[in-house]
Amino acid sequence: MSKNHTHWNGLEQYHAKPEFLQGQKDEFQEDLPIEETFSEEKLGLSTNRRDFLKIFGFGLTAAALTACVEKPVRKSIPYVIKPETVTPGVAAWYASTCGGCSAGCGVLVKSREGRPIKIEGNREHALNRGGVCATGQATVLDLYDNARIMAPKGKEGKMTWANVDAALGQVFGSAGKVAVVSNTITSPSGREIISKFLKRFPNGRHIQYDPVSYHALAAVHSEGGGMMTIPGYHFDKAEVIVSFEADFLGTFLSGPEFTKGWSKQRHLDPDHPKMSKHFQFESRMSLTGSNADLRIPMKPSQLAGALVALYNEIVGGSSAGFAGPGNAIKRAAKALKEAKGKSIVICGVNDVDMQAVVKAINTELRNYGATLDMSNPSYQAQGNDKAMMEFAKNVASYDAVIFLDDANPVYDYMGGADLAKNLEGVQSIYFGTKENETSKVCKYVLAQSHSLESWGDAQPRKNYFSIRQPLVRPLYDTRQWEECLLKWSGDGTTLYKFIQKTWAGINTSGSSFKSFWEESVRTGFVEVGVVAAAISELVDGEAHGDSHNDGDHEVARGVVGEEINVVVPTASFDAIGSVRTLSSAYQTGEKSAGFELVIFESTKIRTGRSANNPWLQELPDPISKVTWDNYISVPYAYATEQKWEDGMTITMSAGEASITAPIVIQPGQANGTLAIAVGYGRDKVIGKVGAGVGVDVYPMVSAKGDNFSYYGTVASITATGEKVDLAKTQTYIGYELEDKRGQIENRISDYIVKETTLGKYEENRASGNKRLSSHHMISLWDVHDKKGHHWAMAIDLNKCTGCGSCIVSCNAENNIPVVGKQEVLVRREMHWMRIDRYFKGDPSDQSGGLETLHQPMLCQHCDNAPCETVFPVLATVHSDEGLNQQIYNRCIGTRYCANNCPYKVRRFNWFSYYWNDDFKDVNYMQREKVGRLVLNPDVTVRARGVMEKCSFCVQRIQEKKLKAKTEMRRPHDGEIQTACQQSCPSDAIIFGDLNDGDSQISKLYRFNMRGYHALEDVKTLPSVLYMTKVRNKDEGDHAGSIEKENV
Amino acid sequence: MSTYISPIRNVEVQGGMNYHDVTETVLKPLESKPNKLWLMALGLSSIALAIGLYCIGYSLFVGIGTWGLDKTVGWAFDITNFVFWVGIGHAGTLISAILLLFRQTWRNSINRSAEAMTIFAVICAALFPLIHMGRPWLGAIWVFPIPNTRGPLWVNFNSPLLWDVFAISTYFSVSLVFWYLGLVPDFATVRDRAKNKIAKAVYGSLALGWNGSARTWYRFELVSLILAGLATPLVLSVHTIVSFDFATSVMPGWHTTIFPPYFVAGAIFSGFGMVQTLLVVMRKVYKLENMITMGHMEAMAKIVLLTGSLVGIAYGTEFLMAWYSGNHFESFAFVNRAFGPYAWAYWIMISCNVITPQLYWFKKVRTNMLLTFILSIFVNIGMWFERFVIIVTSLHRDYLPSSWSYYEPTWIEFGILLGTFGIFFTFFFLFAKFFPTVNMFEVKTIIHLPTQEEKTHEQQPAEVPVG
Amino acid sequence: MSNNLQKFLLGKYKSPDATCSGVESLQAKGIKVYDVYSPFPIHGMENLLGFKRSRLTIAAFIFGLTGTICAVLMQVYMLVWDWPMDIGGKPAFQGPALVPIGFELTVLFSAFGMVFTFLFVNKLFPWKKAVLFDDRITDDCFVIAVDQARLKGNKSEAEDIMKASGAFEVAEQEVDDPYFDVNF
Repeated sequence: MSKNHTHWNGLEQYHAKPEFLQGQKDEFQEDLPIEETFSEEKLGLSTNRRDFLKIFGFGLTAAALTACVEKPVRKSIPYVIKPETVTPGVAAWYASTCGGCSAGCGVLVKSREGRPIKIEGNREHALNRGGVCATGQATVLDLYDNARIMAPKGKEGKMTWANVDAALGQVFGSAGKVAVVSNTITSPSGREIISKFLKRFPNGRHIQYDPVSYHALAAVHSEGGGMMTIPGYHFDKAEVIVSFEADFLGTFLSGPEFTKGWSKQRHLDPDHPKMSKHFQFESRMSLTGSNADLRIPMKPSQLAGALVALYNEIVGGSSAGFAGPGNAIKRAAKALKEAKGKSIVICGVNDVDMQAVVKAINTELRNYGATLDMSNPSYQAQGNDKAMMEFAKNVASYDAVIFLDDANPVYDYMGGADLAKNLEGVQSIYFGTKENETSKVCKYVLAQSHSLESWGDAQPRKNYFSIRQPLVRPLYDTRQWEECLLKWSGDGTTLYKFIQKTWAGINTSGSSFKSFWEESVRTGFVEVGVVAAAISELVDGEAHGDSHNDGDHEVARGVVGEEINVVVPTASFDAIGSVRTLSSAYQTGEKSAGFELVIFESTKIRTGRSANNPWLQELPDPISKVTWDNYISVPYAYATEQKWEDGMTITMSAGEASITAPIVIQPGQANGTLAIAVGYGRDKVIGKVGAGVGVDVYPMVSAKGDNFSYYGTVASITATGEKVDLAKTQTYIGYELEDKRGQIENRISDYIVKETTLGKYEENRASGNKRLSSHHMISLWDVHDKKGHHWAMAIDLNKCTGCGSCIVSCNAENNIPVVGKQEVLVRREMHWMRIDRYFKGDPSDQSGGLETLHQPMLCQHCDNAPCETVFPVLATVHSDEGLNQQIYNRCIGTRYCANNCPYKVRRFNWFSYYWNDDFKDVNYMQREKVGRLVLNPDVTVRARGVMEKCSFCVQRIQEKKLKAKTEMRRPHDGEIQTACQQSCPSDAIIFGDLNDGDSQISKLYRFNMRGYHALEDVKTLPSVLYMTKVRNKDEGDHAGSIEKENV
Repeated sequence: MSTYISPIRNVEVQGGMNYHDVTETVLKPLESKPNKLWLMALGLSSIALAIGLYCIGYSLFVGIGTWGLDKTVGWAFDITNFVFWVGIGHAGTLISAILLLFRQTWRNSINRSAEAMTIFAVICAALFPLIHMGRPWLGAIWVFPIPNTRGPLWVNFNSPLLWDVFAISTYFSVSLVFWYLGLVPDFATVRDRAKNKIAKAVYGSLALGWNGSARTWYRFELVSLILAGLATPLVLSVHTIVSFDFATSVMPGWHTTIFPPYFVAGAIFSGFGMVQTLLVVMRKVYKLENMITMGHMEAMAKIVLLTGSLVGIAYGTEFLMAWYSGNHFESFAFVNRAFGPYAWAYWIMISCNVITPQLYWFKKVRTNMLLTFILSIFVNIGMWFERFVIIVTSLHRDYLPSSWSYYEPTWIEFGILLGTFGIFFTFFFLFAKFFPTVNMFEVKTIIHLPTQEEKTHEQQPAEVPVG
Repeated sequence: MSNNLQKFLLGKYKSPDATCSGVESLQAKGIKVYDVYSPFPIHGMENLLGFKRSRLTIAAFIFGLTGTICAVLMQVYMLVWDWPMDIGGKPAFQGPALVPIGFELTVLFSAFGMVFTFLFVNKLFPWKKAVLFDDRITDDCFVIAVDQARLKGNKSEAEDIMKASGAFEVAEQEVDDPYFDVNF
């Protein structure tokens, strides 16, 4: 790598002001953050004489006291009559459908002693094929959230369901004009029920809207009337991907599905290396952009221009467009033309003109029917912005309005405030699992069952149907909204029967309904039009669980493929007109010097539904690594020019709305843009975790034609001069490393993250990987031979997108405490699995010169583990299966092992998080009675003063080993999956037994030339193999070599 | 002892005192009523002690999280203080043992307080390995290889931390014995002069019925000589082992073979610094100028100068090796040490340990007690920062840049540090009041009488094989 | 009157040199000096009184050796024999790791063993009542004790010698203490 690129992470490192340094260096400054954290009132310890004596006495007699502490006895009552479905100590898995968002991914829910404790992807589900996003997995925690609505209540307080039925019976009896407002309803039965219910009324309407809307995309693809359709994207078939602002690996429509597909094209077969080429044109630095081969930052207005330019290149036209720096657009166009029918152009902007143009381009490229599937379109976004806006305008005219399924327009609709006002005269009924801004203003607040307590189904794609089944009886006095509406619509049938009826309609398997239904409930998924045989085939294939043998997927795909008959949507939109509009928009944009506002959906909190979920709040943002906050991300160049630093708060106004938020200086963000995520700044009713975190930016969303627009122009920016602490999990602490950029570059590229380009890789399989990971270095003693198994992991950096799904999965599997903002600020987050993010190149770069690297970092289970040698009481030793074991109840917490860990993956229990009141709110899954139900009984909750770390999910290993043992065999390759591996939507993680010669892992270790170990030279002999990142760049668009262009 | 009478030897005991005067002078504070100054000092130090206990209790009660440590910097104040205090301790043993072996009789008047200092410093030091643990109530027991009910569950003899456990406990107990043995004859003196019953009883039992018999004296001297012979390698081994805590790790900035000698030099350096600080005050307060003479103070200043320079060389060598090794992490660690976010600590260390002691080249400075006092304080500060720099700067930026952090101490940690000084001085003041602060019988042996010089000269061979 | 009763003739001096000369002149006259008591060790006295070379050094060595053996055996037993483990990929038995603890225990055993031997042979223990021929012995008084039982009559002669050699006082004292005699 040439010296003009630089690795660095955290802008404090890249740039810091002397006075800032001064502040850092002044050790004896009064305001040590920690001092505040543990200030006496915070700890509820005001040291008056009595307390002083108390603690003082404790100090004298601590040892004695602890010696004679009597542990409280916990009685556990066994089943008197054992339920047939529950075997104590054995987990039961149920196929269901994720309730995290409207994507409708198939999931398997792990249930222990009748408690759902973990959500994992369903490999038999054609949509996500095993991957689940962080948000989806975290929904299991919402089930046990204290903030849930536990019983229905009306204006006069608590109600019984009987009174509810009675009261609402009256309401509906007299009502004429009734609206049901919800986000996208993917459930066919649900839709059925709603329409059934609305038939009661002369004027009943069902309004679906999505806070982050895909209306424009749907609009250009829908035939009008009926369902809104969006093409089914097959990224697994796309050799060239050109994305305009679409964060399809993150939040766009169906993240896990797209990631799966995308990663298949990033899978490098050493024999004939081939990779998709991914262009990303976007304003902010998105997760998808950070993984693109060539990423060009552009202001929204320029994106319009770029789209025009691309249109000119491909379809032909002469309107003024934006060629982009170094003719990036030309290059993209060239690549696209070479890959007709094998490419995807995708746009994430909710703007009809842009979508129309994109559609025209895709049509020209003959992608419809090939990579864009209209015969099996997506129903995942039914939100109708137009309808919503109309409804909001004359909501007062309705007699009754029902908000279903946590729908929260008062918060997440741009005109929420007015909506709330107009609702006053209306009989408003809120149906949801949790209180929120809307429930606050509603007359009736009805307690809805959590998706894990509910029967249901989903139809994410036209031909994809999946089942949702309840894992547990409702914990509280709740009902499903389907159930109620069914009741109120006067239909006697139970919901269960009703759903079966719907499914009877889609039984194309030829077998009897009973078997079809049972099979469907077992697999959780049906693809209409695919013979059941194919499914079971697919099932068996998958049952072997080899996540990397793509054969199985191919079978399924093949089957689907036969079904696809090429449907090109009738272009009811005039592309030419759109092109003109865009081109003029571009030109005006270029003229105006003002900043353009970009509002986006964060990968964890999403639209705000998950705001009260501590796992997600503490999950670092994949790019900025900020937890527990949203922030205005500012382009590097502008920030340095303004001498701004991370955490400075600025006031920004757009339209009528104006917000004050801390900034994060974002490298690689388009100059002239400010970006901020929705979903924060929640009202206190939503619960103690999320309340008041960050600021609400929905008021800044505007209407553009019939669509919500997430762009705007910033009227004014003023620095408040204040500074808040942003809890980042990864940063340097204010220090200028300008003079050492060279050193850091070498360190990272030589020892930590190795990368190369496809071209170089074709010439030399080991390119970019200086030292192959053979243990060729001499050793003073023989390596202990691992007789039985030798567990090891491989992580393909070429596939890892850094989405963070593995982190949440790990949290759930291993009972990892959430420590809250203050603790993250002092860098004590407990995540066993983290994803290191490094930037490379000039942070102010606007021409594809900035590259991002994601590296999952977990305990490397070194065969020569430095931590083991130094630990005095043998609390960490090596198992004869190559695991570095941490024995919690032997650990005395000297932290020596953590100090001596080159990878810094060991985590220390600084407090007893499950006992200390300071963590009552954020760590309720360990601290509160109900919250504790989510804990995995196979994993200890660690005591205070104990060291912990990744165990390679030893409990999962043992479980499968026992299974294999009872069947008198060795575990199959791929049978044992760690939590992170299981959840990874891009199959970047491989786990297996090195002693099994045929296992994928052992092959990788032996033959794959991309394999290397992090910090090989320390000679720790890690059991985690990283595989070189390969970028599909030709020298033309290699970092920095594109001539700079000041935007 | 050589027959050569150097000027220093002449003034070992000044003012032409006779045996009785020695007894009188030394036992004056012990037998007279406690004076105001002493009470004040004791009061202050016990307040510090109380604060310390409070902070320790607090962190035991709430958790180590009350300190400023984080996932990257797992040790900071705790182990810094530990090494600091152990270092202080070493000078005591050094003075009493090594100088005894070398027949440096000028040590006779200061070794008692020096040894006392050792004992108290080691107590402070031993505190930290205990409280820095996450679960001290278990660790305190489990670090010892005690047969237990958990099946064959032993300790890890590869761990330097475990070596520490043995080294420190051995060091403490042996120094204690050494010290006490030296006290026995003087306790006897106190016993025989004591007026009230209790004192007589207490000191009587402490004196073990000593009656100054020539036989006892003969064996007594032999024992002290052998103990000295044992204590000398012991003291070196202890700090060597302490340095292993770092030297055997894989952290750049820790993993270096120069540590053992470098740490020992540092220990002697800091130890003598502390001895100076204490004696400058003590000889003034207790009017011991005749026994702790300018000669003693100068001799110690010279040792400080020497060891300080040694330490300085060690610092230089580290950098040389970092550069010469060509190891990226190693060189980065050291550049970062000197110019990184903790540069301020590094330069405090350099100026206090290497630069200011150079003033001792001038006799004027060596003989100026005020300056000596200030410089000795500098030495203490500098050596504390040396340990801080080694521990924190090496940890806070190690291998993976993603984990780099910046450590900031909390008021709890400062409280505990203050507390250890409280412990140290409380003990020391109590010692100064209730113990003969100067080794009387040894001082009496060197009240200069030529004839005795000759005699002892004859006896020299008799003792050589023993030493 | 128990059999431990001993009668002593005491010459009290003010300086070690006078004491030495006193001893010499007594011995010149063939008078056995029982013992000398002094506030600090008088170098050379052991030779004058012809003490045997003490065997404490040997004791120290043996104790030390015991320590070394114990340390090594303990470590090898625990880590190699009883429960060998894979610690940082290192072999169970490794010489270098045994050294530090081996050394420390050597010193510990040797020091304590020797000190307790010393206290034992000199009959020093907390509850022992000191037998003093003069309260000032621990201050500035030197005493030559002569066992009268061995004097056989020429007591006055001894007294004269003492006085001649500079004793400022000559006295007699009886001792009745089983732990008194440290001569062995």
